Amino acid sequence: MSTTAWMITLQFAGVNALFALAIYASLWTGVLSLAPVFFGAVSAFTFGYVAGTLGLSPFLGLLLGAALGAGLGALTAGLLIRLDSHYLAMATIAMVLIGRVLILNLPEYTGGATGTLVPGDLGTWAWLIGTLVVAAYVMARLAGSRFGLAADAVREDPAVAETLAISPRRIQFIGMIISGALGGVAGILQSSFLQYIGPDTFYTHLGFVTLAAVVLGGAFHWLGPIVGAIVFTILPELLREPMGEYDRVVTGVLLVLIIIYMPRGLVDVRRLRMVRSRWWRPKGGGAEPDGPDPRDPQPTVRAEVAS
Amino acid sequence: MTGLAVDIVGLTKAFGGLTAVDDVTIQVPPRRIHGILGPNGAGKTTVLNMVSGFIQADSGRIDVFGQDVTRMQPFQIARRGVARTYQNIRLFPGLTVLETVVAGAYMQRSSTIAGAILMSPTERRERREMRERAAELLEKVGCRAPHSALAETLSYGDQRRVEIARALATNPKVLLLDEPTAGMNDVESEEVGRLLVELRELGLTLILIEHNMRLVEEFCETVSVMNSGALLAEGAPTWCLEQDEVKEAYFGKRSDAARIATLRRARRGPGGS
Amino acid sequence: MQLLMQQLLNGIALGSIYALFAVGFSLILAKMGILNVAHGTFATWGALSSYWLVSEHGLSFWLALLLGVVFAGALGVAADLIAFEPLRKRNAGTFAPIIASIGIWIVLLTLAEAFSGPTATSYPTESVPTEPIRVAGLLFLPAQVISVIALVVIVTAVHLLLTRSRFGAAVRAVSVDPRSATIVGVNARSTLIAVAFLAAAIAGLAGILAALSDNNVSFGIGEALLLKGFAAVVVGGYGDIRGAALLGVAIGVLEVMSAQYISSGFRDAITFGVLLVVLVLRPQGIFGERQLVRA
Repeated sequence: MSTTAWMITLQFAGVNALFALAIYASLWTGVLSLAPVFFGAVSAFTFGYVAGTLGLSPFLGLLLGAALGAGLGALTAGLLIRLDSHYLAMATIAMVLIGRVLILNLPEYTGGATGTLVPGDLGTWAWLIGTLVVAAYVMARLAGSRFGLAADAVREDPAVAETLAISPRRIQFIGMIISGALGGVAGILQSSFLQYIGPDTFYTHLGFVTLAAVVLGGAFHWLGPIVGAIVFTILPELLREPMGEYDRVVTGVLLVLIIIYMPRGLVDVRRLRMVRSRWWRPKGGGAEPDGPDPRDPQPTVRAEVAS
Repeated sequence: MTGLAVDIVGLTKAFGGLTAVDDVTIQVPPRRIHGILGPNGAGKTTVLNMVSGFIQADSGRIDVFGQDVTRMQPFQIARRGVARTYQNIRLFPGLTVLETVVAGAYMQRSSTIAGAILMSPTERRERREMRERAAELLEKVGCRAPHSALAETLSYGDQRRVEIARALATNPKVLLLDEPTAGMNDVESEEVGRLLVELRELGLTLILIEHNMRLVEEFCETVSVMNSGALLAEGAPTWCLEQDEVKEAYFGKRSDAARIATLRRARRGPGGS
Repeated sequence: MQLLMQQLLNGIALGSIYALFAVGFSLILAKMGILNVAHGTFATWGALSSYWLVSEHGLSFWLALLLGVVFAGALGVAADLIAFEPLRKRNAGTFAPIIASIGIWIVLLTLAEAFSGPTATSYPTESVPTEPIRVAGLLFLPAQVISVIALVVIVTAVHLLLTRSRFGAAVRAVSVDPRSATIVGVNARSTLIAVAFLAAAIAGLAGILAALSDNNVSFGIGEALLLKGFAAVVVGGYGDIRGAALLGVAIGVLEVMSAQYISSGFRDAITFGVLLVVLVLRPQGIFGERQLVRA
C-alpha cells in the first residue's frame, strides 16, 4: 500500500477505535449493545444537516455529537435497559437496521439513498488524536473509580453487585450514556473523514468491525478496544490483495475463533495479574489458574432469579 | 417497632410443587450471633436469599430494624444495612483483593463521574481513604494475601475472608454468612468465630448458616434448626441439638457414637441447602 | 371491500413467510438459549442454493427447494458444531454465543454477496409456478398459496413434534439442563444438532419462499427476514412457536395494510414502531408466559 493509503487506513482505525470504546463502555457494565453505530449515524446526519444549512464550528460539531449521542444513549437505556440481555442486544442490532430505513425514508434531511455531504474540517489527524486521547483518558480515569469498580462488579456478577448496594440498572444507564457520547463523537469524526455519508456508512459492517475489535482487543480494559480496532482495520487492508472481496470473511472467522479460544482478548489484565500472583506466591493459589471459570456466575444467577 | 434487628415472620416460598421454606419465623435482636442449622436441602440458603432480596417470598414478611424489606430490590435492602456472603464463594473474576473490597464500599463513597475524570482533590483523598479502609478490613478478617493478588487465585480460606471483608465494606448493620467456615480447618474456623464476636462487639447482628457444630455451640447465642423447609426448633444451640426431632433430622436413627463423631466433623456437603 | 380482502390475503401470505422464519428463530432462542443473528443468512443461503440449482443445473423447482432447505439446515448444524458447541462446553455465558453468531453472520453474508453479485436476479420464470388462481374475484399467486400452506404444515408439525413426541421431550429436557438430560439417557448432542438443523432448515424454506414471492433472489433476503422474525418473536412472546407464528402473520398484514392505506415508504418503520412499543410496554410479549425482564 502507498503511504497515503496507509494514512487513510490508520485514520479509520482511529475512528473505529472510538466506536469500539463506545461499545466497550456499555459492555463494561454488562450490556452488549451495537447502538453506538446508530448514535453515530444520528449525530453524523444531524451534523451534516446543521453544518450544511447553518454552518457550525468544528468544536461545536464535536460537542453536538457528544451531547446528541449521550441523550440518545440515555433515551435508549431508559426504554430498553429492563430487557433480558439477549433482547437488549438484539434490540440494539435492530436500531442499526432501522437507522438505515430511517435514512432512506427521510430524504429531505439525509439525502435518502444518495446520501449527503459533510464538511471535512474535523477530518484531520489533530482532531482525531485529540479526541482519542481525551476518550482514552476518560476511560482510564474511570477504570479505578467508584463507577469503574461498580461496573466491573455488575458485569461479573450483577446479583452480588446488588448486595453491595449497587443498582445495576443505574450503572448500566450511566454506561449507555458514556457509550452514546463516544458513539456520537465517533460518528461526527467518521463523517468528517469521509465527507460523504449515505445509508450504508453506519450500518452493520461498521458495527461488526467495531464489535470484533472490542472482542479481539479485550473487553476488560480500555486499551483493548483501541488495540483491537487498529488490528481489525489494518488486517482487512493487508488481506485485500490476496483475498479480494473475501477479506470480511477473515473478520468473521477471527471473531468466532477469538470468542472460543481467547474470550478475554489480547489485553487481558486478568491474565497479567494471574501471572503476577503466581510470581508473588510461587506455590500458586487455591483456585484454578486458567481457562474457563467454573464459578461462572451466570448459571447460578439465572437459576436463582428465574426459579 | 419490635426492637428486633431482623424479624422474619411466616416466611413461605415454593418452587413449583416443592415448598422450600414453609412458614418460617426467625426473630433476631440486635447484636446477636444467630445460627441457622439443618441438613442440606432444609431451605436455609433460601431464607437468606429472601432476606437479601434475591428471591421474592410467596408470603410472610421480613423486617430489618423495623422496616419492611419483603418486596424490596436487593440493592435497596443492601442500602438498609444488610450484607452477605455466599455458600459457593462469589468473588468478581479479574479484580484484585483490594479492588474487591473497595468495590464493596460503593455506598460509602461520594465521588462522581466528573470528579473521577478530573481527578479532583476530593476524589484523590477518597481513593486513598478507601484503600486504607479496605486494608484495615482485610487485616481485621485476617486475610494475609498480598492486596494486589487476584482475589480468585487465593486459597479457599482467604477467598472467604475477602468475601467477608467485601461485605463489611458496605458498612452493614446485619451480616448474613452462608457457611463462612466451609473448607476451613479448625484453627481457621476458630479465627472466624472470634471475628464474629469482634463484629458483634462493634454492633453488628450476625446470622450464619453453619455446619460446624463446635463453632455453633461456642459462638452462636441462639439458633434456628430447619428441616425440609420447616422450623424444627429454636433457642440455645446446646438445647436445640439435644432435641430428638433435630437429631433425627440430621442423622436419621444411627448410633450415638456415630452421631457425635459426625456432629463434630460436620462440614459443608455438596449441593445447596 | 374487494381491495381490502385482497390486501388482507396478500398480508397473510407475506406474513406467513415472516412467521416461518420466526418459528426457526424462536426454536433456537427458546430451546438452545442462543440468540442466533446468523439465522437470516441461513434463509439467504437456502434461496441462493436453490436458485443456483434451478438456473445453473436445470433442476426442477421443487427438488431445488428440498435441497436448498437441506443445505440451509446443514449450515445451521455446521454453525452449531463449529461455534456454539465449544462455547456450550465452556459454559461461556450469554454474550459469547451472540458474538460468535455475529461472526458466522459476517462470513455467510460476505460469501453470499460474493456468490450472488451486486445485482438481484430471480428464479427463471418457466421453472416456477406463476399462474395466478382466481377465486371470487380475488387473486391468489402460487407463491402465496405455497407460503400459507407451508406455514400451517410446519407450525402444526413442529408443535406436535415438540409437545407429543419423544424427541420433543428430549428437547425440553436438554433445554432445561443438558447435563441432567444426559444422565437420564437423552443424547444431548444429537438433540441439539437436530434442533439446529430443524431451525435452520425452516429458515431456508422461508428464504426460498421470500425469494419466490418477491421474484427476487439476493443476498439481502435474510437481513429483512431477521428483523421481521425478531419482531415476531419479541411481540409474540418467548417459548411458544405458535405465538411467534401468529405475530409473524400479523406483521405481514400490518405491513401490507400500512403500505396500502398510510405510506409505502414507512411500512418498515411502522413494524418497528410496534416492536419498540411492545419492547417497552410489554417485554414478555403478548403471549409470553415467562419473564424476559431481568429480575
